[in-house]
Amino acid sequence: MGEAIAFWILAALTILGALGVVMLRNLFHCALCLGLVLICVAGIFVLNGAEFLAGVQVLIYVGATLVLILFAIMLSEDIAGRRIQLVSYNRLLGLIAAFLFLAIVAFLAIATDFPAHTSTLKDPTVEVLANVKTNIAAFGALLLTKFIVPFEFASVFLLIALIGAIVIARTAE
Amino acid sequence: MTLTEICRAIVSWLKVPPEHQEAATQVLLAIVDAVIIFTFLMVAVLVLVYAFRKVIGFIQARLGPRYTGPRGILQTVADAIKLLGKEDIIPAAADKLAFNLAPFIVFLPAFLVYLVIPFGDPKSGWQVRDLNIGVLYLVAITSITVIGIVTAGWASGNKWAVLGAMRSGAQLVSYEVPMTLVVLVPVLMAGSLRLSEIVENQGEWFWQWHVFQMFPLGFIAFVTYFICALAETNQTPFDLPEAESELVAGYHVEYSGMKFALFFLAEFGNTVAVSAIATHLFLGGWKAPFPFLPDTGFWSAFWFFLKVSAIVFLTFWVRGTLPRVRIDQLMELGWKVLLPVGLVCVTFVGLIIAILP
Repeated sequence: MGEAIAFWILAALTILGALGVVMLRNLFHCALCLGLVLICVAGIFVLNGAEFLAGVQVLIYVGATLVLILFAIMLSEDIAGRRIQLVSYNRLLGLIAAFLFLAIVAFLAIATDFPAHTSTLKDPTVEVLANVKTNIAAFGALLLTKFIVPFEFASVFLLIALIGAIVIARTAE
Repeated sequence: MTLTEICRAIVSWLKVPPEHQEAATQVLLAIVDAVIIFTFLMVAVLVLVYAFRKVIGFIQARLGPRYTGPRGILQTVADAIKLLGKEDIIPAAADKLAFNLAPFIVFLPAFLVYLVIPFGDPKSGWQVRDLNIGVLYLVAITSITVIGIVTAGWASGNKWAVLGAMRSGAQLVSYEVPMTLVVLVPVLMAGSLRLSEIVENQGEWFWQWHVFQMFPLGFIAFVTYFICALAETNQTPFDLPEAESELVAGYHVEYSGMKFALFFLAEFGNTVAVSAIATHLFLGGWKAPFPFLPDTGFWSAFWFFLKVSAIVFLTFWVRGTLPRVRIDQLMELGWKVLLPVGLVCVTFVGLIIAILP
């Protein structure tokens, strides 16, 4: 009951925020709405028992990505104050693309059999999860055993991006 | 009688239908918790402003804070009346919506962090919620502050405010990185993100606290955390965002009255919060320094507040005595000193834990 109330409030706020992101005419306001959406989605993660994901979502998307977006808006002259064009130049193509995307999302939502959120903890096929108690411990154990290759790949990928950014910034000097 | 039981009694007294009673209790409990945290924050800031003015008054030989009323105790009241009496001005060039919203975005994280901070032994009910992502929650929630500050600076429509916001944003983002790294040190030592477990992991004697563990790694982590905390709360020597001599007042230059008071509240609230986090992560939380001293029930709250007060006093001391650093020195300290130190600390602590069983 309490969870249902929380879910509906969060869902309504997420949709309102998302509408604000695409419909407000001031870029800075759009960015603030994006922040609202990200925080509400984090709240929905919490409701689904994924607290770690929620924390990381707020830390990375709100605390870093959104700040980056706000900085970009502030640093680009005349963007923040100007009213931006909202509709696509090619309305027909835009409409088709939007409907196709809607169809895919609707299809996925209907066709997928969503497991209960605790299922990974009880998964008997993963023996590393034998004596972990919390969601975070399960996440950590899986990340460093079953998913070690993607994890390491992501680390190296980010390192390359970091070095690349430094190189680009250097040559611009 | 615990708070939950009181809430349940009130709900049944209100004759809520039985199928909704549990939900109503949860909602009521959440509201009561919020009111308690809010009251705590207000009282803490009230005391803190008095202590701050008094300590700085002694250090800088100021007269007002020491003689306003008996022992200067009316200084906070005088400050508050001054703030409330000010006209609430919204500049013509400001973006009204964002301008009005910004103080609340800054205030909200300062309020929300107290959700997980234990004010004493959680077994005696001195903690609001013991989340299992405790430390991550703290780091995530405090990162929202930057959004409010950047919004405040941008919405003011004033170039000094924008410059102050840029500096503040850059500073907060830069110091968040080493801060998060050194916070991982006690997390690694305790093997948990839950604040109560991190405190329980520290022993009865004071040399078993995380700050003295794996000497000198724990101590280096503590000092790094303290420096980052000073920067995160915009205290001197890192108060560049509001450097009076160059930026007038930084991102809140256009704010007055109650909205300025919110920034002020958030700043002092954050000072208590980072001190409390430092206490729990490094200084044994609510535990007494010696096992023969009592540290249960009210005593746990006593030890906690004693340690927090000591750290807060330290920040005021630093604030009253050190000069402000330059912006490039600030960035160099953050990225070239604190970040490598934090990385080395985490790596070695991780190695030691991995090697020693």
